[in-house]
Amino acid sequence: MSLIGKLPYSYLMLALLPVACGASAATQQLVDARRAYDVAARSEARTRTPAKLLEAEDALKRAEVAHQDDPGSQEERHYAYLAERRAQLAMVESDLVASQQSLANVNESQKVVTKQGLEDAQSRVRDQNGQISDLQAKETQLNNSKLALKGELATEKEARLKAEATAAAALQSLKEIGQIKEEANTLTITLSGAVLFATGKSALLPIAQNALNKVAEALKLQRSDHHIVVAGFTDSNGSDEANQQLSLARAQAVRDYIVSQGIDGGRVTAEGKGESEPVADNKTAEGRANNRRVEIRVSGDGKSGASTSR
Amino acid sequence: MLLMNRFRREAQVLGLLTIGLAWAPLGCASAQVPTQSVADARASTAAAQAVGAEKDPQAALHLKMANNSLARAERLIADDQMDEAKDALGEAKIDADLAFKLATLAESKQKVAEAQTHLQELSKEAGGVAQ
Repeated sequence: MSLIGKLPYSYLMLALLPVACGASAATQQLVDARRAYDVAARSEARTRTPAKLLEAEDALKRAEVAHQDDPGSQEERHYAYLAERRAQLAMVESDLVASQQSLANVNESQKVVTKQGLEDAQSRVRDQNGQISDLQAKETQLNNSKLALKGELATEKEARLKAEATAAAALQSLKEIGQIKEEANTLTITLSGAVLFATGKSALLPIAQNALNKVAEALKLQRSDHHIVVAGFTDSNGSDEANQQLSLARAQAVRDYIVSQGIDGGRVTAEGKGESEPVADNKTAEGRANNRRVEIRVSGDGKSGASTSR
Repeated sequence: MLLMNRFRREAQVLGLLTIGLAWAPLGCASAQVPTQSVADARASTAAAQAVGAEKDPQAALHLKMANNSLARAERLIADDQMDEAKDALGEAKIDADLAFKLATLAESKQKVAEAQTHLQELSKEAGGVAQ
């Protein structure tokens, strides 16, 4: 680009002023051309479209020369017109370059955003696939656990049924040695006094131990949180006091024995009922024999059966 | 001659160039019809119209100026004022070229605006990725 092109045209004109001294005033067209060129020369067109600016400058120079030679001539007017339009053209083309650059930049950003969006989406899909795999693994694990539990439950049920059968069988075996009464929440085993004790004594007969072993085994098969009450009863012979003491001593002997056979002592209490609560007529020998007894009550409510016993 | 010219101007239609050419050999031998300049100016005007110069106000203004200059040039040719006609054709061409570029610039700016809108939508979709 020429040296002139680097300077606003008005400064150039100032420098030429002494030479141009005496020339008549410029036409409006020339004034407009100078101004348009001046604006363009200061704009981005100087760097973006310098060739176009130079064309404007050439036209302006010719207009100036024409003005010097023949002020107000058609040539001056024509080249001034061309100069103004070329200056405008230089600026418009400069703006066009900038606009096209902007478009390229925005398109590039779009690519970046689109690429980023795609990568984000792919990342999300990967995450989701990972989560699906995790869930599937968990589901498999759960199914396995479920199967195992089912197996355990089946085994447990089998074991429970077996235990119940065993408990029932144990109770059945007790029928040979005593009476079994099952009520809503209470199981009562009644043992005849004759089987357990000698007349008037509270020490267990050797044969009683066989019977009580069976009782202890049967009790072990009952639920371990059930409370056990051992109650002693006598017939009406003898004083009430003596009968009371004897019945308590006998109940304690039975209690101590079954505890020694593995029943938790904390669950078992002994009570002496004396001649109260007869179950048969004390006037007959058979009735009295029935009244001499020990009852073992197993109750599920955890309360002592003594206070409620009849 | 002047009267004849005036008559001819009144008689002229769009096919002026042909008439001009036809008259050239008969008219002043020194004044050649600037056929190339006419063709250039018309080509530039047509190009400006083709890119939609009428739609942009500034482009439309210069397209109108170009058409005016072209019409003036045709009259001058008819008047056998070939030098003046050539100048007018040059002015018509530069205005048409300017109209062309102004229309192109308007279109480019429109594209940039659309692309920026699209980019903003994409950015929102992408969850606020920095531009």
